[in-house]
Amino acid sequence: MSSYIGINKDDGFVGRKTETGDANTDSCAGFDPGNREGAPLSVPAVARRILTLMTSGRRLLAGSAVAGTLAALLALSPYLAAALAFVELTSPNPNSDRLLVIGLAGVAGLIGRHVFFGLSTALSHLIAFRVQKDLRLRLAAKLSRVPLGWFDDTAKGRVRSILLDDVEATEDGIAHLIPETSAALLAPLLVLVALVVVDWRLTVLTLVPMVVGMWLLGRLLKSGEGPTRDYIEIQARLAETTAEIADGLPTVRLFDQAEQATQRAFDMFALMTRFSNDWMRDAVVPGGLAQILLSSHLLVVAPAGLLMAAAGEVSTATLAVFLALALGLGDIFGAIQGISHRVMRQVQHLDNIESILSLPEMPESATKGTIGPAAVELDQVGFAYGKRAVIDGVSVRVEPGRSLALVGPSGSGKSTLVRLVARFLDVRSGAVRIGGVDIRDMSAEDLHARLAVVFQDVFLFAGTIADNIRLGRADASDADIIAAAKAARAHDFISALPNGYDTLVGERGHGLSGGERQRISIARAILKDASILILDEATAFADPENEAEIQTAIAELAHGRTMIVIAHRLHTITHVDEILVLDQGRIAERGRHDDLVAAGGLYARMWAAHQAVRSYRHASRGN
Amino acid sequence: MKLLSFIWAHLGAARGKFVLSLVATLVEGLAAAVPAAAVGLGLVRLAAGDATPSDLLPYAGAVVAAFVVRTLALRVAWSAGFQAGNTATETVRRRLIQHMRAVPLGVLVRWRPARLATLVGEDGRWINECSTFTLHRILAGAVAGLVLFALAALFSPLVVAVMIGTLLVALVVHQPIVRVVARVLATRSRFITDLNHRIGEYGEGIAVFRMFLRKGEALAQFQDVVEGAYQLMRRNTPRLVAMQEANALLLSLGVPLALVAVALSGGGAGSPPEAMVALFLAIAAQTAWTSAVIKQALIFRLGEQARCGMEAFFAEPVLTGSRRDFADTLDVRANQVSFAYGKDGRTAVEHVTFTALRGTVTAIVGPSGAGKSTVLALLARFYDPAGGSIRIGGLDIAEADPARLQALISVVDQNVHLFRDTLRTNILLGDPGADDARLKAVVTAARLDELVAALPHGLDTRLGDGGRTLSGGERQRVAVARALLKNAPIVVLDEATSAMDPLSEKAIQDAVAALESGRTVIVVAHRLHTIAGADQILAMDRGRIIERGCHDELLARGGLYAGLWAAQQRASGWRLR
Repeated sequence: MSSYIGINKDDGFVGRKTETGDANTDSCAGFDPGNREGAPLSVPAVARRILTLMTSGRRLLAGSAVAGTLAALLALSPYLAAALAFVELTSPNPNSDRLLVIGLAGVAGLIGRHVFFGLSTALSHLIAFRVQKDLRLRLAAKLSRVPLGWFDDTAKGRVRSILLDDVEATEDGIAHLIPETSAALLAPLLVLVALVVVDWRLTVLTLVPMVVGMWLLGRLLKSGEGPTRDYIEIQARLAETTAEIADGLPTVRLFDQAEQATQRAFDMFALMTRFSNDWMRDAVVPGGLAQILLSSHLLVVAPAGLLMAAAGEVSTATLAVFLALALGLGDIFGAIQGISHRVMRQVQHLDNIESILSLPEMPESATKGTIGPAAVELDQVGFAYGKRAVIDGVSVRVEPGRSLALVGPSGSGKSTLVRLVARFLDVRSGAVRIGGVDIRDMSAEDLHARLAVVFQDVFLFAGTIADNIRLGRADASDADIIAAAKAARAHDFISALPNGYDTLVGERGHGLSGGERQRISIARAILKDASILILDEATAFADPENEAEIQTAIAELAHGRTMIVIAHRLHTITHVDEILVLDQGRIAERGRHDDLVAAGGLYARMWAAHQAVRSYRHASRGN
Repeated sequence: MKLLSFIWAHLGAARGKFVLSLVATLVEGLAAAVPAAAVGLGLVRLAAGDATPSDLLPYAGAVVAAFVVRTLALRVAWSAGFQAGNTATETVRRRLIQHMRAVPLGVLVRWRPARLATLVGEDGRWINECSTFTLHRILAGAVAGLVLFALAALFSPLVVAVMIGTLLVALVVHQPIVRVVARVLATRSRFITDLNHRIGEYGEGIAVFRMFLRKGEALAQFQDVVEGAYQLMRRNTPRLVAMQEANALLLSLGVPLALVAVALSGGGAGSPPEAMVALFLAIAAQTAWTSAVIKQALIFRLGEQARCGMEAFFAEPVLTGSRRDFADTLDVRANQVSFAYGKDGRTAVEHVTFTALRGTVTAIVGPSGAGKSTVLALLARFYDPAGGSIRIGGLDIAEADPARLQALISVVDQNVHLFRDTLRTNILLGDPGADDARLKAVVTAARLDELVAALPHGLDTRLGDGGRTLSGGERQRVAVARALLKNAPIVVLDEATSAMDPLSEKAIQDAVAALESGRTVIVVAHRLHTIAGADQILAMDRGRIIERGCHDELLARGGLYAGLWAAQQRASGWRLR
């Protein structure tokens, strides 16, 4: 029976909660390709990790396992009822009242089985949902404390997928893996104990095929290891190759080289077929015997038992009960099929979650001392990613209301430097001071209240345009918002939208152009009214109409503020107070535009290139 | 069964193996039921009294024989099944790749690469599971169940009637339960989509919220969302579990109810041993059914989903056309071209008409969303126009051999795809047969010399994963180098808009200049000064060409272009402070 519980992308369907109690080989899961890893992937190890992540509900989870075990035991009731009925029917005077009681007891047992199974499922899921909630809240709280720079260095979508998918996947671990594995191991164990009490000789006979099957499986796992590994590897390579073909198909087609690319895929598919057939021949088919043995509890005990009964060694009634229970045991490994695969997946998900929970946090401090006017001072600032120095000994001071431009080739450290000023990252050496106070001795509130940062990339959350602008200042009135939008040259296009300021934006809202989004972010910054402004090439949008508007908006925003700007279009910074030319993390040159051009160094070369770019013409009649 | 016929259609010569595997699975299913039946009959024989061990040998032997048959049958079933299923899977995957090659490139914009990769890889795996294993189990399980029930009916019609009756009731009750569950799930998944969306937004937006000192608020909102999701799940869980278990209970009640029926019908009065044998057989039948249908349901469903996705992709029409008789002039003529994305999407371009003579430069300008890039996409036949036609060298490109057409056009835009291979291989994509001298020449012309010199293994340095990653400007120049090698007479350019340092920008322009020289150029330009010398400029707005002419003519007209030009002149004189 498939279960309906749990959030899942495809309509809320959640993995198999497998039932015990049938004697069929119904998958090749004994040769689950994940089955070859060692101890760290064991169920207990994963269970321990999951239990460590759980702050509550451990006892309830044990309850779920107990209920699951009871359910598994009660699942034997129809078999037991059949055996008792048989005893009754073959007795000298069968009594139909007793038969009725047996039948009704069977019905009651089944009802009990489903009640307990339901209880186990419901309990384990309720716990899982609560743990997921707690995990998400812990992750969210953690994300509010990690260095902001971490977000820049982390692939887009990774945070989202950990918060959503990895946390989601713990459901399998909490709600299924722990209680189901416990029940799948406990129930047969209890039945075996009962069987030993009834007749130990028959119990031993029952165990024979199982033991042989497990021994065989163990041996085959070793001998099938090679082909299994090949098969897993080719699966991974197939995924990689197809992803690359799909990504690159437009490109290869434009160059009419599709033949070449598809041939690679075809070769891969052929290899896949070959490896899969090898795997089948060397691992799966030999494993079939083991699989059948593992579920053929009757194989030895039935023939032997029948002969023993005929010889008077056991009573027919005992044998009947015994055989019915052995039949009912079914595929006792059914419930834990494919478990290593699932365990492996759990490990990946847990790793991802813990990778965030274990991030170093940005040390928080209350503000020490009094923050003076908005001067920004970098004092022998150094920063490195691992061992690779990105910023080395940079010192500069921007007086309140003055402007500094950072220029340099890509990779010269411009972006890192402004991120150090905004404390997305902490300096490795030296210090950044604002208003005379080291920003590490400043509360996040005091720091961010003084800074407005305008990036090329603009984040709009799901909500109205007004809400998005109001991010700049929570208590802004509608009039404030419109004023900020007007100053940011955004009012006209906003008013032209069907719902004006109430238009929904964000991922699923109205699509705005890059230039329009940029102006909304400028409106936010205007509303925020911070004394220091950081611009990361915010004028880059080339759509000519937008460009002029954004420039006007930025001029409005920049008025009277201390400003640090990263610029590629050098003509826009010819009037700033100081230009810092960075090369490989060091200051290569510094000064005002005219002096730098005259000096004939890196800046002069960049300026010459910029001039050439500005006078470029596409080939034409004139040429 | 759509999945079965889908797989059948891709089996080819392996159909025999597939059928053999089906039969062997059926034999295996029937053999699996023998031990239970033999035990039942043996017990009946024992109960009859006076049995000697030799009387019971046939029953004992049957259990062992069934085991042997089962093992052999499974061997055949898996061998043949794997071979057949692997063949079918390979055929399906090849067909998917072939179809990717044949559809208009525009389709590949709708079918994102990740989706297509899933179709081939992950979905291919489910087709593989279903064609090697799952379908066999379902079909064989169903047939084995029927056979066993029929046998049971020979012994006791009453037992079988009760069990089938129970199953029927279960099926009848199942329908409304499924409907209720579907309704609950539909409501829930609507909520969940929204909640997931907001959870993701927190992850992506927290950095910005923190900068605006709204971290507390964002956390509180996130808390609400997560709490809401939790409450929703909590409320629904008991209901869903109850329905699920009620359904499962009904399916399993057959055996004890049959016992009750036997008791009520007079117990010992009838022929008890027959009733018992029937019961054993019926248990086996039910096991065969449930294990086949229920345990394989999930995989079957995944296989069915995979099939739906594949069929939907196969339903995308392919590019047609076989004519190759382009006139040598290779003039490009668009005549009343119209196009809309999607079925009822907004018209992207409308009545676009222009001519680009061989060797001239045509520039397309206009505000964002004007349809500039769509015109380029139509020229390169990423899509076929909904109305009008584009002719190259007099030949309607919708009737042209797609491969021949591609050879005439080089496209350089902002999306440069690099393969995880060496820089050399990546450039040689333009012409795999190019010799070293030509390769060196295009590397120089595309201003890649400095990069090649800086790379640890020069042209043989691996790019991407684990290898070296290239900057945006370097990627652009690789694209130009490829196009130079390809040496197509028509060049379609979509200029990058992102910011780049002046040295990179200059290098790209030098590379582009080399590519443009002597070719027909159609360029979407953002910096108007670069097209001041173009032969013709098409100014677009809302999908239409509203002005055309050379730079001076358009300035004199004082319309859209003149407005854009003025804005840009203002912008280019702008200084910070």
